[in-house]
Amino acid sequence: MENFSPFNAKRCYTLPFNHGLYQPGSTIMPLPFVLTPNLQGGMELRIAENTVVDKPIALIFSGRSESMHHRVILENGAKATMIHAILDPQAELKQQALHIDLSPRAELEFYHYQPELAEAVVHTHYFIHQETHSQLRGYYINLGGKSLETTISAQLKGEYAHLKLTGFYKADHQQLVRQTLAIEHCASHTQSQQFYKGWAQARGQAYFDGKIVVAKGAQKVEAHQTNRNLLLSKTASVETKPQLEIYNDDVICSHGATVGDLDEEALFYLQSRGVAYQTARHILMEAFANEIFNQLPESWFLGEVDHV
Amino acid sequence: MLVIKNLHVSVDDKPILKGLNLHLPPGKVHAIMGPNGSGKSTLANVLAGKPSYTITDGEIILKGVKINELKPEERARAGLFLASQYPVEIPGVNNLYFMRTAYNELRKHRQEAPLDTIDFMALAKQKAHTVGLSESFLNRAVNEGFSGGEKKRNEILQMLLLEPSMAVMDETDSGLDVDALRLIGTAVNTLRQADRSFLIITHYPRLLDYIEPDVVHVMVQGRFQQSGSKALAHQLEKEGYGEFLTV
Repeated sequence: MENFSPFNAKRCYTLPFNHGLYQPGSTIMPLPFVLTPNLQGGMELRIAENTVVDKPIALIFSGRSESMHHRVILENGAKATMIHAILDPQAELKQQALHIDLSPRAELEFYHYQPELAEAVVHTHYFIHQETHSQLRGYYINLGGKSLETTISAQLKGEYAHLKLTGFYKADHQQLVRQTLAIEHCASHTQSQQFYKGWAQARGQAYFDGKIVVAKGAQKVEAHQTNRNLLLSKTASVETKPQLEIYNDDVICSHGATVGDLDEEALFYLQSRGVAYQTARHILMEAFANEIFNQLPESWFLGEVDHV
Repeated sequence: MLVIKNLHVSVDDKPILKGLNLHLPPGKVHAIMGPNGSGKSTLANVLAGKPSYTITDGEIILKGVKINELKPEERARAGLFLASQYPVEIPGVNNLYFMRTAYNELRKHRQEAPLDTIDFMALAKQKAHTVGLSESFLNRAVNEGFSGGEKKRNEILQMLLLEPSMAVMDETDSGLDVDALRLIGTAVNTLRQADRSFLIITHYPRLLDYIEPDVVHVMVQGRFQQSGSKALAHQLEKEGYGEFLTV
């Protein structure tokens, strides 16, 4: 699989984990960061001060694990791109905890990616701590599994910290996907954006729960949340729950959540030009998803994904 | 080409078309004029097969085939085209991609080979030029952010590409300035031929100065009250619909 997988040594630093344990065999040394495997499952990865990691760091997960603990630390001014990918169709990764600590001025671009894997069970909890002037852009792509739950608990502890979370999810044929976000603005001048889109069809179930908390002492905070969902069949279900807890007056916060079917006028328009109904639905679904996919700075690892 | 017999159509249980009859032979241009609320757009939409319109009586026959039950895509494949009054915006769907998909679907139906991306782009650019749309409109999402006039031009561009046998134009002239009107009129005239018919729905006779109709129908309260030559259009412009509304 190594040769045909997009995650090869030319493209990225590949760190494979099987059943929770790091498999050092194929990783090319030296690495521009310190990697300490956790014997109980997981690892600690530390990027030193002002280091700019030249290639993405790809964590590839397979197998089964009841608990994994990772910690990613970027020291002052460090910059990196990381991809957390699950490609194993039989993967069962429960209680995977991933701590991300960004020191002052650190910048991380992070991808959580899982293609459609019908039997996969993946439950991941991200704990994000950001210090002053740090930036995290997180992209969460969950394309279907038996049970996919991604929880993100983020604390913006330092002033001018910036967190942007973008996600796409879908649930088909009795699949379940749940995205739970909680972003706490602890310091002034912090900014966050949450932009998630998804759909459920057949007997799929999709849940989005997005919380923004602005602490009492945090002034001049800007926080926005948008969640758009398509409910594509009578047997599917979508639940969206925006929550805002704002304990300070001097803030700009917005949220918007929608659930609906495809635009009937647009469907008719396509059909009136000779496009068959199902093809027209696919075109509109692809357009819906592409609003997220077009925002991914890196998409080479998506391969031949047919996400519709 | 198109025969409509005693057509009754309701929208939300409200009767809009009340026994409409039309005989439109191949190669002819018929115009329909009428006051607001007369049912002109209802006729256009029910011809194209829009879902919320219910045919309660009567028949629509296109090229000898009754199309009442046909889906919109089946009517398009049979050669029908509707240039909408209010073209919908479709964010995220590329205009060129959409037109190429529609074009190749029709070719597939006629068992002709599809046109590849490059050849289609060249064709689309050339046709876009004739309706005064620059190449940039091909790269944008369908109708997204287009002005009213640009949306109408995009409709006519699609008509030029898809070459329908029965083209229905629903108030294409609203939102077009004088120059655009002339351009559209010229473009549509290039499509006039013995095996193609046009049904032009309009409030004003300006477009009919460029695309001369063979017959003008006056539509009031869901039916044609009178039919005549192009002179009827100018009479309406001068005198209004007053005498027809008392019927």
